[in-house]
Amino acid sequence: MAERRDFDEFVVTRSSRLLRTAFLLTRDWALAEDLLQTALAKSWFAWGRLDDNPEPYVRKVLVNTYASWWRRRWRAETPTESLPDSQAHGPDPTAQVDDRDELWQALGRLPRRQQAVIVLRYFEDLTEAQTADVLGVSTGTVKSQTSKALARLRLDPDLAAHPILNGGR
Amino acid sequence: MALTDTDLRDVLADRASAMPADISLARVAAVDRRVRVIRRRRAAGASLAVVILLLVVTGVSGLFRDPHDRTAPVPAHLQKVAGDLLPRYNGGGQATAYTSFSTDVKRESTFTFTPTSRNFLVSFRCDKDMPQSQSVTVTVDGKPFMAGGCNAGITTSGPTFGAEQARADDLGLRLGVPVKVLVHVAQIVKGSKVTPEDLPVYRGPMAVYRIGVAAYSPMSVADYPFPPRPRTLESLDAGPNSENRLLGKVDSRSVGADGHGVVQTTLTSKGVQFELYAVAPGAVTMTVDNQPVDVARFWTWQGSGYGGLVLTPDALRRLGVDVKAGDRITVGFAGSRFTDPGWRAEVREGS
Repeated sequence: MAERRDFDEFVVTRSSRLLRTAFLLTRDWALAEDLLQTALAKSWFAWGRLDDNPEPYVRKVLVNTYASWWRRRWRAETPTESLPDSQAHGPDPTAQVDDRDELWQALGRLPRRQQAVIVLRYFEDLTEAQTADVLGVSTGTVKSQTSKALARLRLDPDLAAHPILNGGR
Repeated sequence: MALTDTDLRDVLADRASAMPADISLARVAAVDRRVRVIRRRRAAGASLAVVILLLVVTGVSGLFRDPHDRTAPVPAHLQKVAGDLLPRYNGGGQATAYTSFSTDVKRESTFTFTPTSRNFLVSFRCDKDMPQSQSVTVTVDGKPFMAGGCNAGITTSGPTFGAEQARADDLGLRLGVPVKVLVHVAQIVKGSKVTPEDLPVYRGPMAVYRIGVAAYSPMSVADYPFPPRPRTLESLDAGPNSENRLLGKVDSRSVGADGHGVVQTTLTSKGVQFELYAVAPGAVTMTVDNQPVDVARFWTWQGSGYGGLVLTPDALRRLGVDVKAGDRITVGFAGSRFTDPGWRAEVREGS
C-alpha cells in the first residue's frame, strides 16, 4: 500500500514534466499521454526495487519505449499566437518565428534515436554519460548520435540557409 | 540568422511549454487500468497451458455428454434478473436485490437491500412505455429516492460526483444496514397540486405493465463482466445533441481513446453543461481549471449519453473551483479505460 501511495504521488507530482519529454518525442500531446501512461504502467512493476528518486528510471522506460517501437505522427504545426507587428528597424521578429518553426519541423525528421538524444541533451540537459545510461549505450555512441543529428539538421533543406554552429558541453 | 545550441534549447522548451491542462489525477486512474491489463495478460499467459489441457479434457468428455442436454451457462453480461427485465450486471455493479411485478396484480412492491457502498445504483424498467400520466416512484426507508416515467429503456439513478456522502446522509443510510425499497406505480390526476396543467390525462383503467426494479452494488473494474466488443461500433455521431449553445467539444477520434482535450470559454451566470456520448466502455474525467468536477463511466458498447447537470458558478465553487461569472475557464475531458476512440464530449451553455 505504501508503494502504491508513493507511486500515485509520483504520478500526480512528477509525471507532468515527463509528459513534456514525451511530447517532444512524439510531437503530439495525445500520443505523448499514451506513451507516458505506458511507461508509468511498466515502471510500476519495478517500483519496489527503485531508490528514492525513480524519475530517471521512468524517463529511461519512456525514452526506450519510444525509441523501440512508438509510432510518431507527422502533421503541420499551426501557429497558436498572433505574430507581432513588423518593426521599422531591427531584426524581423516574424523571421525568428519562422526559423523556430523550421527547426521544429527539421527535428521531427530526425531518426528516433537521434531525436531522443537531442531531447535528452538539450531539453532534459543530461550529460553525455547520463544520456548514455538512459539509452543503454556507450558515451561514444551518444557523441556520434549527437554529431549525426546536428549534421542532419545542418543539411536539412529548410535549414540550409541557417548553419548550426558546433557547440558542446 | 545562425542557429545555435541555445536556439535548439529554446525551441524545445518553447514547444514543451504549451502543455494542455494538467490531468495528473486522471492519469493515476488511467495508469492503474493499464497495470491491471498487464497483470491480466501475464496471468493469461501463465495459465494458457492449463486452459489447453482443460479444453482437451472437456473435448474428450463431451463425446460422452447426453446429446439432448441443451443447457449452457449464460454469459455473465447477458444474465437477467427482476423478471428478466434488468441485466444482472449494469452500470459497473451487480444486482444484489430486486423485485418485479405486474400492474394487473398490484401497484407496488418492496424489497430489502443492504448497501455496502455509497455508490450503489437503483434501476427500473418496464416491458412497454408508460404514458406521461403514469409514473414510478421509488422510496428508500420512506424517503423519496427517484421517480419518473417507465419505459423499455433502463432508468438508473446514482449519486452525482462528490455527493455520495450527502446522498447517504439524506437517506439516513449506513453501510451494512438493510433498507426497505418501495416501488409504487402512480397515476397522475390532472389538476392536482403536483401536476403541470399541460400533462395529458389518462382516462380509463391502467394498462398492464411488468416492472422490474433492482439495486446494484458497485464492483471493481477488473471483475466487471464487460460485454465483448462487437465487430462494428455504433456511430459516435448518432448520439443526442442538446439545443443549448455549443461552446466547444472534444472528440476521442481526434485526441485518442485515452486522450484528453480542453475547451476554453467564458463562464456566465448560466453556467456550463457537459454532454457526453459513448459507444464503448470507459470513463471520462471532466475538469474545470484542472479540478475534477465529474466522471462519466460507460459500461457497454451500446450508445449511452451522460450529462444534463448544469454547473453554475456557485456549483463549481462547491466543487472546489474558485471561479465567478465572467472568468475565463478551461474545461478538460480525459478518457481512461477505453480500448477504442468511442467517446465525445460537448460543453454547452447552461439553461
